Amino acid sequence: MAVLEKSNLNYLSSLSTGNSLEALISAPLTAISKANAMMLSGQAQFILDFCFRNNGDSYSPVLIKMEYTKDGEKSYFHLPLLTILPLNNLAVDKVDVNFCVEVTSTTTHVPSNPVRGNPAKSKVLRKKTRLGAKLAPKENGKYKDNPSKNGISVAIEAKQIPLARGITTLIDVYSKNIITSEE
Amino acid sequence: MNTTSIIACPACGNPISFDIYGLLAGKRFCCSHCSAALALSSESYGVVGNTMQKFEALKASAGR
Repeated sequence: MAVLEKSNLNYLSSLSTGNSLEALISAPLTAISKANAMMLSGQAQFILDFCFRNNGDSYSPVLIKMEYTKDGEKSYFHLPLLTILPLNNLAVDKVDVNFCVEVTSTTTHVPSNPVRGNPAKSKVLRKKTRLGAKLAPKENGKYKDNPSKNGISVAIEAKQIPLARGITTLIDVYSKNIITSEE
Repeated sequence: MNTTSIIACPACGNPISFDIYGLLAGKRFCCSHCSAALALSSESYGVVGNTMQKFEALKASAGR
């Protein structure tokens, strides 16, 4: 996560000089998505390495022994290690990115590729606006310029993703098939 | 950070919430329906403790 790729460095340098608004907003989300993917692939490898035994052509779950006491009688059951690990904690819990941008340029253009239908009408509808923007600098924790006056305030919030369906199914199946024994 | 998991009570099927660090500390978790007490067997402390250490290391490396 801490390793900056060339694209990240380009992004950082563009913050002060200006870039398209889409790029400014999407870059932190892309970085978060990449970090999440790294964590999830690490988690998948962890599950294979520690929660399963490799039997050559198949995997079998590593079992742990649990005990439960009821009415003074002690019984035991085996449970796959996978079912007791707090696995979903490896995903990004919550990300709150707040920044203000200063719009540096506005350009409008009509894409050159041909469209079907009324050309005059579609020309108006196809008109695209591109906003050039850079981060609005902060001074003493406050934005130098009033963002509502000449800039845009951007707040991005991303929340935790649920566990992969395969893992959830595995845990569910294992949990529903607990068989107790005397030893 | 939430480290709570849920397991079905082996006696009555009622969900029991438990914390893995609590299990490793020797804590018992009771079923609210039938009062069965759930704990980690002494034979499994090693494997669960070792796995949790690796798990914490993985989380720490992901956070760097």
